[in-house]
Amino acid sequence: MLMVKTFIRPEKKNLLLEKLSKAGFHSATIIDVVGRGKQQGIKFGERIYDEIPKCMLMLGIEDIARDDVINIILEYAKSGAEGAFGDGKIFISRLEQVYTVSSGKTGL
Amino acid sequence: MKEITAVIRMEKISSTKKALLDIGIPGFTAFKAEGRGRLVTDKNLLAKRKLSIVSMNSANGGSDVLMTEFVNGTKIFPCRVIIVLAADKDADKIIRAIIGANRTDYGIGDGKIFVAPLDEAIRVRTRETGDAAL
Repeated sequence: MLMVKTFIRPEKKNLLLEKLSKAGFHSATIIDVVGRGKQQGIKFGERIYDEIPKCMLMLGIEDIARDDVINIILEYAKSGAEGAFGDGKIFISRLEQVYTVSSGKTGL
Repeated sequence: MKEITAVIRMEKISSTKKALLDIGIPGFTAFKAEGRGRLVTDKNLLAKRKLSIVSMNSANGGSDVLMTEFVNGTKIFPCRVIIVLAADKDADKIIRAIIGANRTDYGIGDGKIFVAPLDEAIRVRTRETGDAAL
């Protein structure tokens, strides 16, 4: 099993959640975060803004769904056809085990 | 070492804290988040939850929106996320404590626990590494 953590623009959240749900990946945890990326924030004149609001989605998925989920995020979190700086990143890590609290069962 | 990330109900934080303290794990990180779980397909469970939502909302008349959102699964619920870093031998104990403290009679929405491997932990103050830093 894999844990997908993706940082996206807050305005893309609802669209992405809807598309993920349609593709069968309904569960998600959503956290509002601030951060900066490789471009070192946004510069307006003298002022540099390096705490840019983003949205973090956490999804637990099966190994086999990896490419599907990545493709959906890449397609719908992108702004415009070309994409732009600040569209976000996807991080994927391995999960050893998942437990559902209500039933105590293991697995997603 | 293991990183145990648990998504739990908003109101269960104090009982979880107590349960962890009881097994001798005082340290953890917690934050508020929102989220949704797997789509519920069990008709009986849905009917039961529908009834309780209606009874909660009959006074202010806001039940229609809530119910549609609940049934088609678009509702996003507030929840809490706690992250516990544990030595391999403690992991099982912690998972059992979290499950014990968070289980309810509702049958759905009690949360999930994700267990991931953790490569390294370092205590900033003493620069201890590994299990000693937890």
